[in-house]
Amino acid sequence: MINNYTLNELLAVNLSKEFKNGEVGFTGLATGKQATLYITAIPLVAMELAKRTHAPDLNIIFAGWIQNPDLSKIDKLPEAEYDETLRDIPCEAQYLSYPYQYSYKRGDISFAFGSGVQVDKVGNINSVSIGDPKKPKVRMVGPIFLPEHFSQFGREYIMMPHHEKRSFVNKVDYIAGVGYPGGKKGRKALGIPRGGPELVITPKCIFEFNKTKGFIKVRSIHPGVSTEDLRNSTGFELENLDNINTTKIPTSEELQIIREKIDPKGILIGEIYK
Amino acid sequence: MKKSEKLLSLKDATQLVNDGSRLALGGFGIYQRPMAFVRELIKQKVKNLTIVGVVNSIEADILIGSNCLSAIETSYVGFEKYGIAPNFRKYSEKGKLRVINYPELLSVDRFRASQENLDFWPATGLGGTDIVKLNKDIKSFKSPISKKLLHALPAAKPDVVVIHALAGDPYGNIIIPSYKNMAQSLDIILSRSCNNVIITIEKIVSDNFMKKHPHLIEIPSHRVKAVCLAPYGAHPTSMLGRYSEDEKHWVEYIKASKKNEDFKKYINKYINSANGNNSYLNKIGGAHLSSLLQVDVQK
Repeated sequence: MINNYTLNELLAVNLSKEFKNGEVGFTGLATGKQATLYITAIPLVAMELAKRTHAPDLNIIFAGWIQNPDLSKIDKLPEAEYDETLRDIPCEAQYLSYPYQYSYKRGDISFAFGSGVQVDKVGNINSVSIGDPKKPKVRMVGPIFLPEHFSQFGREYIMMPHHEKRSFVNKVDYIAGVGYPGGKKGRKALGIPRGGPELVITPKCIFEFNKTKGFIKVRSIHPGVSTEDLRNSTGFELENLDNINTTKIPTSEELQIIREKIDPKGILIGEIYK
Repeated sequence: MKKSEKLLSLKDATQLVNDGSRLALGGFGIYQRPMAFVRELIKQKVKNLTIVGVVNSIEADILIGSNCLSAIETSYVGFEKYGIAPNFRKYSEKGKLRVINYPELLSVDRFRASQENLDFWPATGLGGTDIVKLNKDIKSFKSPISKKLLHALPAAKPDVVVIHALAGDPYGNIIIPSYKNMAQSLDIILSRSCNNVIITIEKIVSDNFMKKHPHLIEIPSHRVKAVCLAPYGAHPTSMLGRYSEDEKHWVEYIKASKKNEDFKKYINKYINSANGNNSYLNKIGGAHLSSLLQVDVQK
């Protein structure tokens, strides 16, 4: 019986329940260590857990070109998208040419994971700049693949390693990926073919969306986090949280699969319990 | 009659890049960038370039810090696991660099448009982004077939393309091994998107070697204006199957690019006071370069 769990495990287990059998899940690599944990390591563990519990036909596409890597065989989490560490990971398939062996524009990707420095009330995401985009106060890396994530993939899980007022704002300073302005109808009017943000995962809570009206709301608060703490760390107004759910804690069986089968060396999400 | 050779020195090849050109540099992210050529551009003090790119890193950042660049069209400038690109951040925040944001894989499609000699690439799903709102060159239109809302992204239209490749002959036939990644696939697209293509190569190989591997000639000689010999020409970025990135040098670069004074010293040491690529490599050191060599048996 395992009855202790880490935040990383809590997030991975809750995410894993989102994925359906036969889907295709895509995850890339990030700039920086915390972002890597949130958009690469936790998603990989979540997808592996889904494969072992209810979704054996889930196809994982890692770094855009490695299909179903055997993560239990790696010594460290790859840090580069295209280097010999990734090249040498045992896997089911490698997509070596671009345009790739799949078509993201036809809807091949069921879901993916992305992050940014700001998320707003309608689910827009910003990874480009703070302040006036023409002469920004802070310039970040750029939109990268987020515009495509938010319009071509089936669902986007926004992974935010820090839950702070400055990251959860009323309106982002630059819209790199579009949420639900005007709800699903609004997206349709903008010509967006599919997808959109599904959940926002943070160290304090899980957000979901009212997709008809087009706004973000709390789905559950993690155990040990108070509603007051959540309000104080969020830059936009939150609804009544009196009867809000607590994020479901992992079962002993789920933790055992993660620790013994998926991440036996603790190199993906296990640093805390090792 | 004898076939014409296209071998040029790096210095002579940089003469093909005029001030104000739209320049596309091969590779992707922190992989296989034509750095030897970039260093020569800096030495020749080329000005007001626009980089038209996809995912950019040190090849753009070093040009920005050397005041060679006035604009960049890209989805990303950063050093991946090494963090932010210091000169890119500094110059954009000071308003000294115009940054035109494009989505990542649609940036590749801009080159595919140029490959097909089209003015634009039609994109779905960009409505509602600031990418479209802040860029007058992106036009919305309705598909003449389905009446769906689309956006026309301007073709990349580079004036000059520079790629670093493994091997070739003096006539400009270029070998790209069959085990590829994104960087090498993009190089192939880039080479077909422009009529001024310069290739720097690790090694010039014999006619017999070329004839033994005709299926690996991804860039035929008639697409190539100049070939420059540049061993370790991607350093400090990696070259797939040949050498890894030089982590030590990346750290040195990042440290130097935080302060203007230190960056000037870096440029003086490795570029201005170096007499070409061989002299640069001597400064890096033969034993250290050897330690970067990879074992790759899947070519």
